[in-house]
Amino acid sequence: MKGQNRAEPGSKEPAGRPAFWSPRVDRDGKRGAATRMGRGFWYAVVDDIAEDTAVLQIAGWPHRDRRGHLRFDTIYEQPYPLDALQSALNRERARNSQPAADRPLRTGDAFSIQSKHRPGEEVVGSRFEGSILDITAAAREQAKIAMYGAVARKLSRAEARSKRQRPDEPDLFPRPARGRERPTPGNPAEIAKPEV
Amino acid sequence: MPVMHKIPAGRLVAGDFIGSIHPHHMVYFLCNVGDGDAQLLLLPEDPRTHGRQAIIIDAGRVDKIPWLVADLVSRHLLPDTPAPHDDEDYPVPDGSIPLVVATHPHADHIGGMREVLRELRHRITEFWDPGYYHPIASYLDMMAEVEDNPHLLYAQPTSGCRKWIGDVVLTVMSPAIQLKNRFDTYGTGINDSSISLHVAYPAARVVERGAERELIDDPTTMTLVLGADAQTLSWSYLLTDFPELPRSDTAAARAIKAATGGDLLRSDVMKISHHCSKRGVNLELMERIEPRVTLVSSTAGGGKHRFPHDVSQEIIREALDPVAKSGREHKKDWELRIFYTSDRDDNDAALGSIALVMCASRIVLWRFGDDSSDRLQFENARRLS
Repeated sequence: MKGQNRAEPGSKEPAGRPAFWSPRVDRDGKRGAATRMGRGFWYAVVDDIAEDTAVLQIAGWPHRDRRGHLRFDTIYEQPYPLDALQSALNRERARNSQPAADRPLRTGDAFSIQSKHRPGEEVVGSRFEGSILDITAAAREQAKIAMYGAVARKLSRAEARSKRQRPDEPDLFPRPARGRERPTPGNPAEIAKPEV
Repeated sequence: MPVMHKIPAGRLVAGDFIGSIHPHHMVYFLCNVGDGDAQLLLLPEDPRTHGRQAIIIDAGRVDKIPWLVADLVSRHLLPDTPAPHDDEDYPVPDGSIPLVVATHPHADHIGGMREVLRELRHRITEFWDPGYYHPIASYLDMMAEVEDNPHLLYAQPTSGCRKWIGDVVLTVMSPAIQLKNRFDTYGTGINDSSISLHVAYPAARVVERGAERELIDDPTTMTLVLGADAQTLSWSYLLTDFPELPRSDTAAARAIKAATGGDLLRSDVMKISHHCSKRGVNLELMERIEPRVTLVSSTAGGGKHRFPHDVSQEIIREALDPVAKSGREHKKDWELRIFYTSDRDDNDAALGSIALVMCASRIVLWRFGDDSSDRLQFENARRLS
């Protein structure tokens, strides 16, 4: 949707406005630290892929409100040729040492785009001008948080800790250790066991 | 490129749309929002309260649905409950919108959903979405609004879930639970996460006279299938979840009043899924549903995806008007009762949003001539004759 009834980025922020969202980005196979982003960054997600076109929904970089929601200003859509977008992303992911740099683009993949202008205005020869960082994992986590935060009660840290405290009584029904092979029929690990 | 048949202007007659709606009529609006969905179902009047309710299914643009609700209120077709000011909290809703459905989180279906949930919060009781978390800004905005509203009920229904609202019953046809359980790994595509609905009116099946009660099977029940953006995988589950039931006249069947037969998919109206993309429909599905009226929300070959796809148009035509063996040409789409929000008449005037006034197995179709960004004007209504 092209700029529907949303404030334009660059409008003066009210005093005390919470900070911009800083996603964690993995690099070189390690869990990354929070990456500072803000004005001049755009939040882009592959909303749809049809035939040879990827449609991105692009928004001004979100900030967190007092309740922890990500809040977005201008939202619009921009179609891109799929091949050109894929090459640009592969190149940028490799340059940023991000995992699975050449993975195929999927609906729901998310990126930050650093640019002085709207990315859509900068398409020259069907490629992005500006730097791109893959933030899919962090964005998916935020979408999950948005859903579970909306539909179920939220816990304080103390409450979450208390819910993990076990009763003092001995555990008569211990859980099997995680990762243990389950003796299901057809499980090759089970079949390979030596007969006793 | 799709082939679009222009409707003769002479078949469209100006008329009093609002005046034509009687208390026992149900009205289905398929708003013109281009390649996107925004639908509203105005339920028949409740004889006990003399009030109506409305169900909203998707809001692909910011303004279209709130405008339509405001216009229905101004014509006394929905209760005139004062809206809270923007900075006011969440009042207890009046229930005039008992349900809002976000069929799936693509922008062309939820791009205006935050505004619907916010501006109509004094009316909305319940909200459904498939539970497919999609990181676009519109989804995060929508869920923040769900979280902020302390009165809003929320559910993620799957195939088979039924809900009775007034004299209407909704049956969720998709997603199948097998598809929903694969959302997290993205093993299910976002279109196949769509909530498709079957709507039936009247839902009443019991007639009472004093203490006497009788079960009826009303042959005038009106049904709609609202296909969201479900694609082949979703329809494949749906075709098995909602089978064609053979009738049995054996003594054993009669003895227990069972096996009365019927096709759980057959419907009077079909809103084609995914804007008539080439994966949004298949021949067997259309033959099973066998709609009297087929509706498509799409541009006429423009937009991002150039919907409707000509392959799907041919599938629909062949299902409704089989010519493959005879070799003759299909009738025109409007003659086959196939209508697009992007239709034009033979004066090249856009026909825009569609309304169906439905009751007692009768369907009356109206057009409003609005563009995708225009407000739907009841004064511009023209009835198909």
